[in-house]
Amino acid sequence: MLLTGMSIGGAIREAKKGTAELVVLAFLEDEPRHGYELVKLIDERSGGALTFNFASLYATLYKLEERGLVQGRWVERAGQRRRRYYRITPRGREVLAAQRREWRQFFTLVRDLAGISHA
Amino acid sequence: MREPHLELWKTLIARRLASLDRTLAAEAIEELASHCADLYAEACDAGASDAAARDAVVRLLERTAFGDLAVRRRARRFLASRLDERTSNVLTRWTTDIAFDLRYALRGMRRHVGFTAALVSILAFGIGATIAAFTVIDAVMLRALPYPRPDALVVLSKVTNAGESRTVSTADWRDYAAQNASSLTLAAYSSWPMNLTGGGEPLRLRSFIVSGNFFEVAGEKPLLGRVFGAADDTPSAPGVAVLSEPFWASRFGRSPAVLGTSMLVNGRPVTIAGVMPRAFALPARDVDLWTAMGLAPEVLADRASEWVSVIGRLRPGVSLATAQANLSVTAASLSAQFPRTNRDERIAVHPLIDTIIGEVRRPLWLGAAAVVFVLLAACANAANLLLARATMRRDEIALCAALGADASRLARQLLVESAALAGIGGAAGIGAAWMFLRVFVTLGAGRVPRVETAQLNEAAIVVSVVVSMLTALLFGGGAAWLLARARVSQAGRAQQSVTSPRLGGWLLASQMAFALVLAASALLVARAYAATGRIDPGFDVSDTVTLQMTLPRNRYPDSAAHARFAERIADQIASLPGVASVGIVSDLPFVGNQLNFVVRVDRDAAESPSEVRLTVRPADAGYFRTLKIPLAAGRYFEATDRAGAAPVAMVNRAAADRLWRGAAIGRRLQVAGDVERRVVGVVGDIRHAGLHATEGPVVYVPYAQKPFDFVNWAGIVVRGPGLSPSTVKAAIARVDPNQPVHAVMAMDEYVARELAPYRFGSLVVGSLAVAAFVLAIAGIYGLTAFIVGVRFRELGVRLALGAAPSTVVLLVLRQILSILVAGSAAGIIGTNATTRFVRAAMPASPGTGADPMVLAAAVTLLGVTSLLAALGPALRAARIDPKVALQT
Repeated sequence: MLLTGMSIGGAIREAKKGTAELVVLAFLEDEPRHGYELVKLIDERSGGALTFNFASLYATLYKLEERGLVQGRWVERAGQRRRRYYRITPRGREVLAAQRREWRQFFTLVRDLAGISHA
Repeated sequence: MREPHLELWKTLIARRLASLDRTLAAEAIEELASHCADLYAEACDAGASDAAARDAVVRLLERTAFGDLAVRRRARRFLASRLDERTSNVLTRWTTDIAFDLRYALRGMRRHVGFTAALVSILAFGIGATIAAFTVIDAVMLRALPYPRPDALVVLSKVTNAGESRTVSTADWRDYAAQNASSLTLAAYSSWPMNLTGGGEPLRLRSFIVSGNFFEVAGEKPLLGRVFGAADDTPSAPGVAVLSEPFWASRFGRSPAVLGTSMLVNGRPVTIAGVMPRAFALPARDVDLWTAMGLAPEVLADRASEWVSVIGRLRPGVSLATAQANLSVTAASLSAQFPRTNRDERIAVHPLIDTIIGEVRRPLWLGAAAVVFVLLAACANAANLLLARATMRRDEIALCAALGADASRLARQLLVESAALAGIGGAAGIGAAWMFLRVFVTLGAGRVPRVETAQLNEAAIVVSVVVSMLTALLFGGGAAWLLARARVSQAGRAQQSVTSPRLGGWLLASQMAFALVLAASALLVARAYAATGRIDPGFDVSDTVTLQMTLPRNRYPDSAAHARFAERIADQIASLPGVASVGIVSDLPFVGNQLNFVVRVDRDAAESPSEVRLTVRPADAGYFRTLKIPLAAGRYFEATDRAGAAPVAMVNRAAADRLWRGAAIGRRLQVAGDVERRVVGVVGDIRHAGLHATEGPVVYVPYAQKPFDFVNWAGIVVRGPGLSPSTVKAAIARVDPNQPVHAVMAMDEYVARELAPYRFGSLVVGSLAVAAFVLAIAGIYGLTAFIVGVRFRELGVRLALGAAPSTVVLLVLRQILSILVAGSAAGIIGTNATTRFVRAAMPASPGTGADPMVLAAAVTLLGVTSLLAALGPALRAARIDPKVALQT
């Protein structure tokens, strides 16, 4: 069983690890973003519940890039320091769609088994 | 955009990742540091103080576990992505590395546009000037003449005991040719201006009469038709002419149908036989046509008049030395055989190319040397700029070193940066060279032979690449070596002394030395210019107009006809309003022609020999008065000294002194083939052949008693303020509308022409000296600012401890002063060494050693401007806020 033997905090930490890639891919789905922007967006949209460790966000991005799911590129704009923007690759979109499917199935399963329903 | 702590974030992150190797990790670090900078900026925007915002970032970094392998892997992945270690060989790894370094360098340049622009401009100036100078030298001096076996082409000249070079007589030419046929072939020619009439306005042609084998010796084929053969060179042969391509184009519109047609030259029909290509410039440039000499046997046998120039071609396998030895044997034999005409005469043979470029060789090398000095000054300046910037980049270098980059890696990066800058400088240099070349060619046209053929070519590109790369090695290598030796402290900062101002000081001192040498040379050339301008030519050049003409033999067959025509035009011109006087002479001063004859003079027995070779110049009574040539004894010619009157002569002071110890009046002389004449006057010596040429003995005979019919050319001098040459020409046309005149020029224009090489030299060396000065002053400013930057903290501490601002200013200036003293000392030594060279290039340079006045002026100028340039940064040093200095 997935959550066996874990505290609630531990369960969320594990879930965060598993969802980190999904969340990053999801936030890159619409437009390319740089690291800091991702951190801010994730923080905002999750109401502060989900925060990325500075190093682990970049570790996630680098891993995704190594696997060819995102692609980073330095962009220089007038009057600004250059930033590295990441865009999702077609393969990244496929993986994102597959992961969404799996998570949806997983949520359905948990809901059915645990009797969780919307308030 | 202000990024106050970006470098700090980088350093902190780098320290956390310190075990990583290769500077390529810098990209990962840059990304993480950028994140920190965003965080900092946001905190500031939210109202946090600088310290609070900085703490927030530092806390974040401290909280962060950099142990994540992905981040570390990332740094290596930059390397792995561009270099597959398993498959690539050393070469591809090297090229990939260089490509990366190059991209890095270009990004750096974009970030520091001002610095890059300054450096590229300095290099473009130095490299451009160098390429242009060497393109000119290549075109003028190094490139072979455009004829077959150009090295075999030689010229012959007679050398007198006094060291003068002279033309030879026709008989001598034939003897030299016949007795040296196994060594070389000799052809004769002479400038023979002719009139083209019978079709529009009469035209005076720049033409030469040449011997039948002239074109065979030159070895050049005609563009069209044929050249002369021996059969054309006889008195009875029908007249034939070979045209130059420019004349053929301007007069006949390049029509090939012109071959075989006839034109009226000097009133005699000649048939056009051929056209020579544009590149054919023998014996001079801008020739209109060549005709065969066709000399009568008695002229060919004449040994007394020396009027032909001789050009030759060495036979294959014969060296110049062998030819010279053989010709000397002939000269000795002729001297013994014909003592009256050939006594003590030697013959000299020189390569044709030396004769063409002779006068400009030294000034050109002088210019080239000056240009090299500027290039060196530009390199020193660029090196200084790079060093100063390297110091500003010490944190970046320290970071690379902290990340484990080894010395060779850093050196390569810096060398690639220098090479990229030099490459761009070189490319811009080609553009600059093109512009400089235009200026050089414009200034040198007509004065520097072959300069118009100078154009940028592949050789220039190769020179540019080589010069650029050498420059890169020279100025980048030093900086790279120094920086690669950077010791990095535990805190990840380079020590302050990595690029001490000492090297910059040495570079600057050398720049100052170069500037000083150039300034002293420019002043020397300018003084030579001024000294030449002050040379008294022996006559008054102001308010005079001169003209030249050749009288056609069909209408003016003899001296009597020449004299009548001269008298009529002199009267006609004298009647013009504003004309003060008018004079006629066979050969005008500064034009270069002169007639030399054997003259028998009445001398005391002790003063033998009684036959000497002298310059003979027919002139009328007005000539001396018009040019205001001073009378030393006796009288000028008068209008009464005409044909039929008592034969008289005048001599110049040199002749009076040399022949009769000054007492010339009443003595007798007889030019070969002429009657005996009595000397009635002595006039001052004039600089007939140029401002730098003193004249030997001259005999003047009245134009109206001119003994030689063949002298059918004449020069006219007219004095009158603001005279219009066209009115004078119109006056001549009223006497004979078919008589062309040419070279209508004010006498002072001839002087200006004489001065032109000096003006050219002053201008070129002077502009280069100004450039070197500007570079040195910019260097002083930069170095002072650099010193203040490096000693910022120390100067701040001094001020904090109570030092007066003036003490700080003096402290900084003292450092500059020591550089100035070293540079000036080296410059003075260099100037002493180069002065001889400059004096050799510019004959009128006064004195023999380095001029103390010139040196003192140059040193003072450099000293004052340098200290003024240093004062700005030094005053800024005095305004350092000790609090700020202590915090850094």
